[in-house]
Amino acid sequence: MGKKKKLQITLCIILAGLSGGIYAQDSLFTILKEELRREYDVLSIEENPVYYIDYRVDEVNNSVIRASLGSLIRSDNSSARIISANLKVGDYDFDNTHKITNNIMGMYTQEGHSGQLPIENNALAIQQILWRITNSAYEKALEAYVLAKESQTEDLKKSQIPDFSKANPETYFEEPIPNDQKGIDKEYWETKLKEYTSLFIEDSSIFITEGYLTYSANRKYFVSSEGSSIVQNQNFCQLSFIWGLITNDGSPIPYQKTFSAFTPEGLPAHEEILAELMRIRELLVKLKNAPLADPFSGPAILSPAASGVFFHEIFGHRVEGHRFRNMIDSHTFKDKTGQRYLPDYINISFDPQADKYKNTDLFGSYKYDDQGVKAQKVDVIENGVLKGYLLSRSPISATHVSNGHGRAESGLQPVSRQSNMFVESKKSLSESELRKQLIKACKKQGKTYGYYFKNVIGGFTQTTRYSPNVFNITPIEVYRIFVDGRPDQLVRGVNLIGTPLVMFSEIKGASENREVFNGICGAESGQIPVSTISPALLVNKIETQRQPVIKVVLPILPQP
Amino acid sequence: MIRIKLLYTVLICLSAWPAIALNAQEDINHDVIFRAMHDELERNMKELVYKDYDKPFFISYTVADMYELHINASLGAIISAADTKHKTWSARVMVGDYKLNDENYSANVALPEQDIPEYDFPMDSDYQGIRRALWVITNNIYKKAATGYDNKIKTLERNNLSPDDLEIDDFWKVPVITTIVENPIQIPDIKILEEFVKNLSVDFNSFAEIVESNVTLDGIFATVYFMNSEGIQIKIPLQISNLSINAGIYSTSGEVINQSINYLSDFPENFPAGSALHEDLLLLVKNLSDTKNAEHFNENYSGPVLVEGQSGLELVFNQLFNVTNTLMAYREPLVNGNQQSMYYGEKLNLFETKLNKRVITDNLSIITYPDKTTGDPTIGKFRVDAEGVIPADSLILIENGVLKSLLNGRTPTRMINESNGYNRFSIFNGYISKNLAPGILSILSNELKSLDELKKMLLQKAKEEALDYAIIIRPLKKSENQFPVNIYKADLKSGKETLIQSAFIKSIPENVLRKSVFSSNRQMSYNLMLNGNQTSVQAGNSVNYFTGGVPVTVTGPDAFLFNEIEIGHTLKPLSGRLPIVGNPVGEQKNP
Repeated sequence: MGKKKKLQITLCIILAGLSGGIYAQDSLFTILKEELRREYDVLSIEENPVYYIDYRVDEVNNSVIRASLGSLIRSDNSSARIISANLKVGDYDFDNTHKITNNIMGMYTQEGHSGQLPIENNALAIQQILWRITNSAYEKALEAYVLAKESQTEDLKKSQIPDFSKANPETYFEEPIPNDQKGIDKEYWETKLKEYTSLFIEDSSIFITEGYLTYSANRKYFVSSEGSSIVQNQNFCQLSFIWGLITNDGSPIPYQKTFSAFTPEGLPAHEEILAELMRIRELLVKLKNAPLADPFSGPAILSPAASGVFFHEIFGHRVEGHRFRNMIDSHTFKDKTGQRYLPDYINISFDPQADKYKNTDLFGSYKYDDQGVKAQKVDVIENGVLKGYLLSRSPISATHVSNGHGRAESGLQPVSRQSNMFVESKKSLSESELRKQLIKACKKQGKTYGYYFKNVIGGFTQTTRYSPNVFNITPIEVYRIFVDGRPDQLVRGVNLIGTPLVMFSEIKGASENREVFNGICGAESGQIPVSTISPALLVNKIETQRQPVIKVVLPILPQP
Repeated sequence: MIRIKLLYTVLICLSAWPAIALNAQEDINHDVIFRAMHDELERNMKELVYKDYDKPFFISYTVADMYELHINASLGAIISAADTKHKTWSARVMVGDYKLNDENYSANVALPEQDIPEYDFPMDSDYQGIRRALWVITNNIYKKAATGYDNKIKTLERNNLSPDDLEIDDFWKVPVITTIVENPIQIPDIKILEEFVKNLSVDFNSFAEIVESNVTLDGIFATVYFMNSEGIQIKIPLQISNLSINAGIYSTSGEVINQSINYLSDFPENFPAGSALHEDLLLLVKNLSDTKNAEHFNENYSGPVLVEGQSGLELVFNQLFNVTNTLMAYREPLVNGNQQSMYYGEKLNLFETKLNKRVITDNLSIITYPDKTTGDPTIGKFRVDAEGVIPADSLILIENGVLKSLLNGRTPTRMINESNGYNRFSIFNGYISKNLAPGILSILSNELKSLDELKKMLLQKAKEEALDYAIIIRPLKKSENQFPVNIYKADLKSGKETLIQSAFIKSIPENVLRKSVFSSNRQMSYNLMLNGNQTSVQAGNSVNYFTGGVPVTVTGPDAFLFNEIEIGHTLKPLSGRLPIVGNPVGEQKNP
C-alpha cells in the first residue's frame, strides 16, 4: 500500500474522531475508536502493514424465563459485551485471508479474534483487552499473510478476485437503550408462563409443555480504520412454547408455537395468546388420533410460513455469495444471473431496511450489517430471473461490492447471510382458488388427495458437492385435501423433501395473502435472526418421506 | 412400603455453621421439598411395578436447592457478573435386596421402548413441580433397574449359580438416622461481592508489565436434602467459595506467562482480609517479573527433589488418589459374558488387593477425619455422607506404610466390610452427585526434620548421585491457599538457589512413596475440590472457571524430600515477537 493511501485512511479516522462530540454520552464508542486509532497508527506502517482493522462489540442484555407444566424452572438475566476484532495485513487485493491452495477442499485463514469486554465503561480495562486481542489478531494475520505470499503460485495469480471489497465509511448513532428497556417485567412473565404452561397439565398424553420468554436487548458498536462509526440497537423477543405428545400408537409428536416481536410489549395481548394456546390444545388432541401418512408424491399447498421456510432453505442459502468462493460448495447459482429459475410472476428480494410487514416486526432488519455496510435492498429474482446475490465484503468477482448482507452472531466473523426475504407473486390467487387449482392438479395426476402444509418448525439443506443437494422441511401440521370434497384430514409423521431446481420448476401458483415467519438461522457465522414474508404456494409435485419411528411410553404411575 | 423409622435422631448444631436452629421435626413436616420427596417416595415404594418385574426395594432422593454466582473483573471493571437459582437432583432406585440387586452388574439390557424425558426441577419450592420431576426420574431409573435385575437373575440361573455363590453382597444396611442442620443458606449480596472483586482487580492498574489480569469469584450455596426408603433423612448446607487472582506477563520471547493465586473457603467473608489479598497480589506481580527474568532450564533432571509448602502435600495426595492407586475402594462389577458366562470385572484399583500390606514407606501414615481442628480454614469438614452414613471420628487408611482401610460407601467391596461414611456429596458443574472422598486428610510422618536439615540432605543425596545441582520446588508462599509454584536449582556447594523458568515435573515414579520420604517438622494444611477442575480459557482474558467437586482439606508436613523425581523443560523459542503497540496500562513500548 502506498503512503498516500495510508494517509487518507488515517485522516478518515481523525475526522471521524473530531465529529465524536455528539457521542460523548456513550463512552464505549469513544474508547473503541481511540484504541483502534492507537493500534492502526503503529501497525499500518509496519513492513507488512495492517491496512484494515475493525472492532465490533455487541452489548447483549439477555432475559430468559422458562416454565414447564405450571412450574417455574429458570429465570435469569445476563449482560455481556462480546468483542470481535477483524484485522487485515496486506491490501484489499491480497491480504492474509487469501486462499493459499487451489485444491478442492479450499483453505481460508482464521480472520477474527473475539473475547469479552467489561460491561462497565472503564477505559483502561477495555483498552487492555482490545490491545491483547488486536495483538493476537495481528500475529495470526501476519503469519497467514507471509504464508499466503510465499505460497502463491503463477496459476493462482492469474484469476484473482480481491480479498476484501472497499466500502464507504459510515457514521450512524442511535441513542442508548434506556435501562428500563433492557430487561423484562419478570414477575409478570413468570406468572404468565406458569399460567400458560399449566393449561396442558390435565392431558397426560401431553408429556412436554414448556414455555420460554427470551428477550435480547442488544446495542451493537462498529468502528473501523476506514472511518466507520456505527452504533445501532437491535432488540428481539420471543415467547415460545414446545409440546411433546404421545399418540395412541406410542409415537411422540413435537409441536411448537412462537410469538415474536422486538420487545415484550410488542407481543400479542394475554387474551390472544390464551386463545391461541386453547386452539393448540384442541389441535393436539386431534393430532393424537391423526393417521400416519405414507410417502407421497403429488400436488401440495405450502402455507405462507411453510413456503417461507422452503424459500429460505432451498433458495436463500444458495444466493449467499461467500459460498461461491468455496470450492466445496455446489455453486448452484454461480454465474447464472439472467437465467430463469422461477415462474415469471415471482419476485424475490431481501430488504433489511424494512422493519415491519403490516403490523408484524421483522427480525431480519438492521440499519448496518456486521461489516459496517449500510443495509440495502437486493433484488435477487425479478420476473423469475436471477438478478443478484447477497454479498458481504468478500467479493465474488472483481466488480462486486457488499450489498450490506455481511452478518454474524456475536463473536464470529461475518459472511453473507439472509435478512428479510420478501417473496412476491404478481399473479395471485385467493385461498379458495388455490385449493381449486390443487384439486385440479390432483385429478390430472390421478391422486385422490393433495397436501396442505400449514405449520413447520424448520428445516435444513445441504449445499456442498459432497452430499446430495437435498432439503428437508419438518412440518408439524399437515392436512390432506381430498378431490371428492371430503373435509380436510389432519395427518402426521411426514417430512417434506426434495431437491432445489426440481422444486422451483414445480411452482404453479401463489396466494395473494402473505405472512411473516420470524426465525433464527444457523450457518457458518452463527445464529442470526431472519424473516421471510411469503405467500402460500401451490406446488405441482412435492415428495414426502416418513419420519423416524420411535416408541415412547408414559410413566407407569399416573402423574402425582 | 416406606417406613420412616427414627431409630435415632442426630441433630447437628455446630457453632462454626451459622444460623442453626433446633427445629428439625417441624422442618421435616413443613418443608415443601422434604414433603414432596417423602410423598413421592412413599407412593413409588407402594405402587411402582413394571409388568411382571419385581418392585423396587430401595429408593433414595437427593435434591439440592442451589444458588450459584460468578463474578469476573479486570482492572477495576466488571467483565461478567451472573447469579442463578435452580435445583439439581440425584436418585437411586434398586430392585432385588441387600444381598443381590441390580447394581454392580455389567450387561447389555435394552428396554423395548423409550421413556419420556426427565423434567427439570422447579426453581421455587413448588410441591407439585418437585413431585412431578421425582415421578418421572423414579420411573425411568426403576425400569432400567427392574429389567437389569431380571437379567442378572436369569444369567445366574443360566450359569447354574445361586446368589449364595457370589462373593460380595450388593448393598449394606446401615443405621437409620436423621440429620438436620437447620441452616437457611446465607445468600451473599452479589453487589457487595462485585465491589470486592472490582476493588481487588484495580490493584493491577499500576503495573505496566502485567499484560493481562483478572479476579474471579465463584460461589456455590446449596441446601442439600436427602431421603431414602429406609427412613434416613438429611438436610445440610453445602457452601463453597473460590477466589482466583490471575495475571500474565510477556516472556522475553513473546509468550504470555500466566500465574494465579486461588483461595477456597465456605463463605466469601472467610477469605483473607483485603490488605492480605493486596499483599498476595503484589507478591504475584513480583513473582511474574522474577520468572520472566529467570534462567531458562534446558536440561532434564532426574534425582532427589525437595518439595515445599502445599506442593509437597499435593504431590503426596496425588500419589494416594490417582487412577491406579487410590485410597478409594473399588467394587468390581459382576459381568455378563454374552449370557453364557459370568465373572467379576477387573480390579482397577491396585490398592484393593493390598490390605494389611505395605504400600508406602513406613515413615508415613494417612488418617482421615470428618472434623478436625487444623488451625487453618477447613472446607473438608462434614458430618454425614451422601448415603446417610455418619463417619467415625477418624479412619486410619495407612498406618506406618501399611494399608489399613479404603474410603467406602454402602456398596460392599472385596476388601472392605462396611461403609465408613465417605461417599460424600459432590456438586460439579451445577449438578449434585456423590463421590468417594476424604474429609480432612492428615498425612503423618515419623521422619521429621527441620527444613534446613532437609535441604542439607537434598544436597548430600545429589552429590552422592554425582549430579551437578539439586532441585527445589516451592510455592510462592507457604499457606493454605494455592500460590504459583517456582522451581529452583540449588548449588551443591553453596546451597545457593537460582529460580529457573520453563521447567516442569515430567514424571514421578509410581513407587516414589515406597522409598524413604523425609518430611518437615512444621505442619500446614490446604483445601482442594476433589474431582473438580478449573479451566483456563482464552477469551480475551484468561479466566478460571470453577467447576466445584468435593471439598477436601489436606494437612501434614510443609515439605517433603523425595528420592527421585524427573524434571523436564519446555522448548525455548529461538525467536519471538513482542507486541509492537504498547500496553495501554503505562503506555510502555515493548513491555
